Amino acid sequence: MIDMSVEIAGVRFKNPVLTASGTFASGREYSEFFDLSRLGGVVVKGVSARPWEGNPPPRVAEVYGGMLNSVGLQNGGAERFLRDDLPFLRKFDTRVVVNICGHTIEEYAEVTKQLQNSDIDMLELNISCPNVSEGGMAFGTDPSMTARVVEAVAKAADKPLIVKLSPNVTDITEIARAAAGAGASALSLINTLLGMAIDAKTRRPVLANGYGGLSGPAVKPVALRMVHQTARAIDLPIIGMGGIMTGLDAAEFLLAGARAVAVGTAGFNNPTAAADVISGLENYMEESGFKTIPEIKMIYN
Amino acid sequence: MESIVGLVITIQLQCDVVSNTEIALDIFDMTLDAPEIARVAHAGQFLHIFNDSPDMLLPRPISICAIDAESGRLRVVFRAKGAGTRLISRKTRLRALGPLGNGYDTSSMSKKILIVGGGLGVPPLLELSRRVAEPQVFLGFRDEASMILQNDFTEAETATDDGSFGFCGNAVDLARRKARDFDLIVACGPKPLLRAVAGFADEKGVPALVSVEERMACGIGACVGCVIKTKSGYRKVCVDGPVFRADEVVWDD
Ligand SMILES: Cc1cc2nc3c(=O)[nH]c(=O)nc-3n(C[C@H](O)[C@H](O)[C@H](O)COP(=O)(O)OP(=O)(O)OC[C@H]3O[C@@H](n4cnc5c(N)ncnc54)[C@H](O)[C@@H]3O)c2cc1C
Ligand SMILES: Cc1cc2nc3c(=O)[nH]c(=O)nc-3n(C[C@H](O)[C@H](O)[C@H](O)COP(=O)(O)O)c2cc1C
Ligand code: FES
Repeated sequence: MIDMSVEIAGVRFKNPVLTASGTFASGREYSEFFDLSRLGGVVVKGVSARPWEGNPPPRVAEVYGGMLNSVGLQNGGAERFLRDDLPFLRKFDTRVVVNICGHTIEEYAEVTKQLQNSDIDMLELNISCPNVSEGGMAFGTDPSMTARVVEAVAKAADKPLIVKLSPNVTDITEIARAAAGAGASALSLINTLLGMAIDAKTRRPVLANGYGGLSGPAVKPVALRMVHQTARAIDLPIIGMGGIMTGLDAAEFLLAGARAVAVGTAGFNNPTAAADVISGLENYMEESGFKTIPEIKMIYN
Repeated sequence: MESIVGLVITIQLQCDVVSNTEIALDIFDMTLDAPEIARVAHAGQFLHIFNDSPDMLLPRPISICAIDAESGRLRVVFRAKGAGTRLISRKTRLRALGPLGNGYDTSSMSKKILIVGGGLGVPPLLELSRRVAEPQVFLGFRDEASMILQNDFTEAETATDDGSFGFCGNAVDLARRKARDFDLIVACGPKPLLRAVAGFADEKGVPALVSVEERMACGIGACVGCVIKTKSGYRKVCVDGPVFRADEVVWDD
């Protein structure tokens, strides 16, 4: 018998496959295609204290091996999430992780408070948002700004806190260490890589916003490297993501040192992608003789 | 909005291309064997067609042009515009997701419908024209060579921008001159045409339904990638549309 379950910060997941924030909304749309109870967990779309309008369209662009998005974290706010989305998601036997975002440390703390005493399993803190009080620089690109926002959220949180790291940094372990020191119970990585697409014919950026976040198979080598570096440097469980399309991709992240994985962009190509990754990973374990997830380890000579 | 239906059921399917004809330069008229989708599809809905090629991860949204629920077939008419639609035009089997979008609720539509189509906006209007009684149809194309489907409509008047066939001008100009009594306009085509339709409807004091386009990823309302600006904020083309009330859309951007 294969046991695919994993534990992250005291929370048990039936398998190590989650959905990546912002690619799966709150699960309702995808529940038409497979039973959400198959998932280890659903990480919901970024939720802020108040509704966010998001960026003007076009918001998505296809690029080689992936896509760019500049959705701008459009969402209806925490109140609406708790009222309209959470009850639906709770009908399924899966872990619920709520991804939170803010423009200031106060906004991050506020949304964390709004989620206190709610029926969720974990929080995931997206620190890739621009800090409006610091000229729009992303929180997650600076260790001291990271420490401050993580500390504020950890203080207000009544659930274990995952900090989601931005790859748009020189040394990811430095940010990871700052998050760990400020109260993170787990880390997730990577968020999207900042990119751009230009239409040579119209001589204009494809996205109305100009820049957008790159995701999909194109980012996998970068994501694997960053998971590997972080796993060696910091003693916290890691949820790895970035371009996972198959069970083998997921296995690569576990080998790199992640305890769990998340599937995002793949779902736009195939609505059952997350479920297919679970079956694919199970096949990999069977073929390779692994009985549990922690046995999946890299060989170094 | 009573003339628009909500998302009912969505199916992912590998389907055979039953026939495929190039009906004008780079424009393909393709019939798909897709019984599960054909059974539940409405006029005005669309499909996501996948390339299953690693450099093209995202789907290509293509409108459903005609539905034959009995034989389980769907017809799509599309232009090979870039690499993705070019690849689709060569396929004998493909993966499709659908039906997507709201579509038209023809059962609750009025009796006197004016249909206005421009270019590649004509295909989704064909199925609609078959489901309503005696619509007045006005179609516009760039020139005679790019005319499509005009003979598939029971009755249609045609305009070309360069006057090489029929009326010289666009479909709205033609409708302005020729249309008799009507109480609803349904239109699909390039944005300038839709904007003109919105103005025309406003002048006449009748509602108009327009089908709009935006770049998409998921197609099912999950990613919030495909929004357009409306008077009630950003709305998703893939589930709240592609059919919107013209007076809901914010045109000036
Ligand atoms: C609801 C809807 C229905 C449509 N119905 C039809 C139809 O019946 N017939 C037809 O010929 N065309 C239709 N289109 C337009 C069609 O989707 C695009 O022409 C096609 O996606 C272009 O892909 P490409 O790879 O050939 O071009 P590229 O320009 O190389 O595509 C690059 C990327 O941009 C996207 N893209 C480019 N143009 C558009 C566009 N106009 N709308 C949305 N995404 C776009 C592509 O999907 C792809 O992700 C429809 C679009 C929408 C949104
Ligand atoms: C359309 C879209 C929206 C996203 N929204 C969020 C978000 O709200 N919060 C967040 O932390 N990450 C967000 N992400 C990043 C993903 O969760 C994930 O980290 C990234 O896409 C890499 O994984 P993938 O290659 O499997 O998609 C988004 C990604 C995409 C493509
Ligand atoms: S394409 Fe994802 S919400 Fe419309």
